[in-house]
Amino acid sequence: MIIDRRTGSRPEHLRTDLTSWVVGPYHGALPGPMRVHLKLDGEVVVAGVVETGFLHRGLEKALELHPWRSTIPYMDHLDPESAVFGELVLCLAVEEIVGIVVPPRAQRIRVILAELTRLSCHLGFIARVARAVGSDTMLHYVLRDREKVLDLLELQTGSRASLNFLRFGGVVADVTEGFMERVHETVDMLRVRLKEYNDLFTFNRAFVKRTANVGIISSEFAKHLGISGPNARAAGLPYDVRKSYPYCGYDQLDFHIPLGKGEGGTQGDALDRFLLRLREIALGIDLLKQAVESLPRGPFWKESLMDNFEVPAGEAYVRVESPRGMLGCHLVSDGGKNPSRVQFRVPTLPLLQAVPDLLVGGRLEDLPVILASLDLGIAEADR
Amino acid sequence: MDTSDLIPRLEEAVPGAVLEVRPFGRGGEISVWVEAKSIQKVAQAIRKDVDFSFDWLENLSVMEVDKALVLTYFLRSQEKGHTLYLRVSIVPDSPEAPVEMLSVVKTWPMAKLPELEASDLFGIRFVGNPVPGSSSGRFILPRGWVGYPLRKSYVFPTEFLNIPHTRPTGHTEPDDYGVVT
Repeated sequence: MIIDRRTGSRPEHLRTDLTSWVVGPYHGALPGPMRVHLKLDGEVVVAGVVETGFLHRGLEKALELHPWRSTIPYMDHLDPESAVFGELVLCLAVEEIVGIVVPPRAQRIRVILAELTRLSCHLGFIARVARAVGSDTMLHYVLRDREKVLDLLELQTGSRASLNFLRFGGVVADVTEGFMERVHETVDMLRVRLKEYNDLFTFNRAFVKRTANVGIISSEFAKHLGISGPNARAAGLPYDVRKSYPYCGYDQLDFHIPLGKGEGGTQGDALDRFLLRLREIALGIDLLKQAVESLPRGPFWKESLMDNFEVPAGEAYVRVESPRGMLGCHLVSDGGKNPSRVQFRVPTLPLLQAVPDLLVGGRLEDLPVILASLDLGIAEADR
Repeated sequence: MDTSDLIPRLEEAVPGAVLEVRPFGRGGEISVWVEAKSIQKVAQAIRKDVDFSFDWLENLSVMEVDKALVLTYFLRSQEKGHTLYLRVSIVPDSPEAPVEMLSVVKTWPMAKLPELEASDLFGIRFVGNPVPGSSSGRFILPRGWVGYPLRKSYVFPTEFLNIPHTRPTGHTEPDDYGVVT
């Protein structure tokens, strides 16, 4: 007998055959090109299979075919929404093989760009959840605020999305005039907006009803599948690469990792994942304030790398905390002109494995909410 | 307790499985090379070890070195924070031939999709991976795609489903600095 996991009751009294549904690869309920094969009993999902690969661009192969310095713009396309993290993870891997010590000012500029991108990505997440629950008001408010963050990225790097701003040994340019003041203004504005988001969502009964106890990821389930990032932290796992393997001077910043508390429902449900992103936006605001106020003086790039840049034979495995979770890069050099192998550990892959389990037992109307609350990055999963 | 303390325990649990211990990169970490046929036993042993309990297969990376496919299992103990890089080398019969490897899905369920990816891009058939079609079908590449793109011997196709893959005449590749010459 099929039992509705949310209400604990049997939802359908009319005996019907199972229905097969195929959603995707292009559908408004999906976070990107993917296909979900569903078996439905009435409106309850009884089986689900996820099909991916629609966005495969051969990124890892492309990196092997390009000289070292030409690889960075490609990294923006690992996950276009959080482009700087792709650049960052590759730069850190190359710097580890070569043994480059990045100047402190460049590290701090990287942190500022990373945290701005995280804010932009989390605001995009809120917009997608708003769309999934049908709240157009929220969608427009959040996208309006995200524009301000993208404006900052544009002011500093000249681009809003594909930044192409990091280089092996530093960043392309020093901070633009007026950038720091604008960062202060924007994060102050976002802090005020957080209250607005709380009023619109956190204390909104209709929103809580749509998201509480839906798509629950328990801490055991997160461990079982190796889920990382905000989704694992919402489930109560206190793992964050910025704390476990500090990079770019994160260990000099003072911050605490927020965890899911299960307010309104169960720990690790869609509501918890949403609330955790709100808390991470608040954390991002604090980190940006700290980073901007303590920007060290000095060079923003290792100038000795200007000529004859070569990467000796060797390998490295580095991790960064991207907005979706732990992003890893295994980089191998044979001493040649191009990388010999670049492989990425992306946080979306374990989530894709979790999707069928999260859908089964829920209702069809929960599908957009569950998928949006996981913050899947299809581009990085397909590569 | 250091990760190197695990090696004697591993040699005792699965005799003959450990082939070599080498440093990994510059960070002072070690990689443990083990026999390909013993990978499942080794996986079980280090998963169950009370002091280390490597329960998280953080990443599975494959690379080609001198015609051999080298698999690196990046492991982490979620409770204790230890990391271990486990390595296995397998050699296909020919540069284009698929090769078999034992799956570690039973020990680390998160290996399912990374193994499927490696099977698609490197032609490694993971025996024991429960997804139907993982040995013959495609996971990330379109159905009907021929060859394993991440192998060094891979030759780019000139067309797929009657769509030509060749550059127009007169196209020039950019040089190292991105300037078209």
